[in-house]
Amino acid sequence: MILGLDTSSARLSLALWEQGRILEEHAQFSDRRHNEIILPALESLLFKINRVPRDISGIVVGLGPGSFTGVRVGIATAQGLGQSMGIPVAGVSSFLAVAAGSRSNTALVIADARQKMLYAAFYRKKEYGWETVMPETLISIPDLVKQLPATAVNVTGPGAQEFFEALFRARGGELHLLPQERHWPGAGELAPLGEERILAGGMSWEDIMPLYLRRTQAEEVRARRKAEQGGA
Amino acid sequence: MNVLGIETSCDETAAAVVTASGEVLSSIVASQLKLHAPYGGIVPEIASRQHLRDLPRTASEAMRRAGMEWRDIQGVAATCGPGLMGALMIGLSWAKAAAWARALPFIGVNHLEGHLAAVELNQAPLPRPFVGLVASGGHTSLYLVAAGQPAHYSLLASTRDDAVGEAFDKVAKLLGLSYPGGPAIERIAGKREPDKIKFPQPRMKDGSLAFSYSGLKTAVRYLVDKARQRGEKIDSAEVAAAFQQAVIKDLIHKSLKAVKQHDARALALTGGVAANRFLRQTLAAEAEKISLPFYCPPIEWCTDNAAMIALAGARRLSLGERSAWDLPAVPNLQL
Repeated sequence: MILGLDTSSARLSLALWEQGRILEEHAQFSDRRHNEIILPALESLLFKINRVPRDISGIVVGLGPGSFTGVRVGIATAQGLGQSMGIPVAGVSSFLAVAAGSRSNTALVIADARQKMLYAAFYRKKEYGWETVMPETLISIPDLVKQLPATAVNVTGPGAQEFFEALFRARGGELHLLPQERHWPGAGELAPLGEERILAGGMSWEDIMPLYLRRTQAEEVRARRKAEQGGA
Repeated sequence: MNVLGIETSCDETAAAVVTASGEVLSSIVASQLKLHAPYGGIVPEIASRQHLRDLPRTASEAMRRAGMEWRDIQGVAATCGPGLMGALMIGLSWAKAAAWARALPFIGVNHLEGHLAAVELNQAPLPRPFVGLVASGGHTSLYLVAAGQPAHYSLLASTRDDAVGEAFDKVAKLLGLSYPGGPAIERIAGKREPDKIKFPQPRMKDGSLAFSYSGLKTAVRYLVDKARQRGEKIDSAEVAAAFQQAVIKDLIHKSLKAVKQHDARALALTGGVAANRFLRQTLAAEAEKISLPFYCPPIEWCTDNAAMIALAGARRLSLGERSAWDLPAVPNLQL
């Protein structure tokens, strides 16, 4: 039984997956409190289907992009569970999980990256699975619009509701907003996306890191200062 | 009882296995000092990123060095505050998940209680009540530790502005010295005559034991600015020696005053600033003069570590105390 876990958005998502289906799942909006509700939620999830922690044979965790602290809470939880039980852990893009749950043929997944920037990725459905047309990127709305194909694009992701209008104005049409309940990374989609990796023995801890997509502000400032000094 | 302790409250990722009687079976610390040095201080986001990277191997290394498997561990303890929110969250999330998965008892530990427990790692318990001075980059606090199960802590004094380690960092910056400021100031001060410059002693008007170092820092800045205006060069070593002496005199004066006020039977020094040899030696000598038992742990247990968290946790766990799985991280947690 695989545990799927995503804490990259304001909505915590947990799912237990076995033999090609979701046994039980739980989602809860808990802005900044994922660390507090994750284990009680997991406990009641297992209780509902009469299972115990050691029935979990692998963990697939969402790597974001999203809230840095949020993603780290999910990964640290997966590390603690994985290490103490000696079971494999794999990380998967939370945006890919959104695309997989979009029920459409294309998915532009966006989230707020603050400072007038978005996290964005663009996926296209293939016969099996999804093609990543544009991988997770930190991008401004005008730049994102330039990257999109001429055909109609379905917009989803944790930032879709908030930024759709601005995006629509910038592009001048050919955008559809998917229903809001499909905007959030779902653990039920994450688990099958990481299943193959789990069966192959999981990923190394160094590879299960958040998709930060940007340096820390301190690093940015320092790099800028260095560049200025170099240019002067 | 073997307890796995986890500490990620600031810029050290640490894991340790300790018994309830305080025997240290392993203590691993992954320091981030070099990562933060170019910024002249700790950058919280860089700290959080590195904790997540270092924690898995730090924890397995602590288990390996202790010669332990998970089935040999009877409890898990992790720092839940005070500290940096994002940093605390990593160790706490990891530790809760590990304990939950193994159905082990879990306890969240106050970092300051950890520092006070550090004086009893691999060491017979100190007579109670004792006064503990926690001096570090984040804290300057005097506690009275009284007998009890668990021990009873009374906060006698804390800082009204900068922590002592912070004051060292800021003054080092003013003098153009490197980060962290404590070792830099101690090094440059060396054996220089500390009485050439007289800095005001940071005493409270109300005679309380509270600490305050912003006035002293301002005095140094004033000195540096004045010299610059006159086009004179300041003798950094001389300033460092005088500043260091003023701080240490104040720490010692207030620690001994606390001992006297509360009839304490011993004095303990802990926290990263305890790494200052001048402070350790002078405090030891002053305590000896009045036949007061004094103890300061080895430097590796004065600075942030997980052995102290494991011991503080083990003591509470063996009394049957437990934290709930929804325990939050509390950046300004009080003791």
